[in-house]
Amino acid sequence: MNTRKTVLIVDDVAINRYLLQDFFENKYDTLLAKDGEEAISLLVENAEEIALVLLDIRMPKKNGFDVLQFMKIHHFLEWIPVIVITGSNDYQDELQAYDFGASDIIHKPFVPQVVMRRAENIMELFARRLNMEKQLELS
Amino acid sequence: MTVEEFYLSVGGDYRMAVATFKTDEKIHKYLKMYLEDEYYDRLSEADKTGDIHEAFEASHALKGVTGMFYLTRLYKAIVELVEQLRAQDKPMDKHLFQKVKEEQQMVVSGIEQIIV
Repeated sequence: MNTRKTVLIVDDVAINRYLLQDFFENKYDTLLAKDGEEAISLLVENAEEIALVLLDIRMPKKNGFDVLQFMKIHHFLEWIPVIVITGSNDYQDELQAYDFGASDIIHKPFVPQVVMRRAENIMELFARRLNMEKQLELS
Repeated sequence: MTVEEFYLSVGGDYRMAVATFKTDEKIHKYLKMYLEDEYYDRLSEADKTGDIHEAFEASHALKGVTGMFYLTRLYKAIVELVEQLRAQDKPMDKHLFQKVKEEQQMVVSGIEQIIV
């Protein structure tokens, strides 16, 4: 049985996708999407497996905010945390990302090892929260 | 030319590039991908056609890519261009684009020297 978690990496810049994949694939399965439309398709097809989304904001077709909105409407955000990775320095973009349900925001240029640490912290927190919710339901 | 010498020659930050990519081999691998990257060509095309929106989108993406590589001098030239284009209400500043073009040519020439 495959116990590795899956991370969905969404960025229209190929170098960013492959760089993150390089760092994550030692410990995680990875899925790659080059725009918001692909991201949504992969989310729908693999919702049960995905443990985290690394999401760019400025992308063709559907952007990162569209993906967050989709995830919110379809309740994916209740069990899949999203880290937004953005090149924008606009605080309004950051606030909007948090309003839409992002768990964290990382600015480009990023150091992949730092992204990995923050991703692991957030996945662990989410897992603990979900576990507590399950225990509460059982009691 | 070594990767470190390349970074020195193009005004980049080798220390941060190593922090990002971990090894010279990885930097090498990704610099090859930089040569195949489409965004500079899109920016150049937008300059010819006068498409301000496309120029902003392409320069913004190029800013992200050059930032990831810590190609600092090129990155700074692109940042100026991105800010000039941000409102998308004026044609691309030829002087700023020329500066980007010169820095880009130095980077491409340097990469070609280290990947032979």
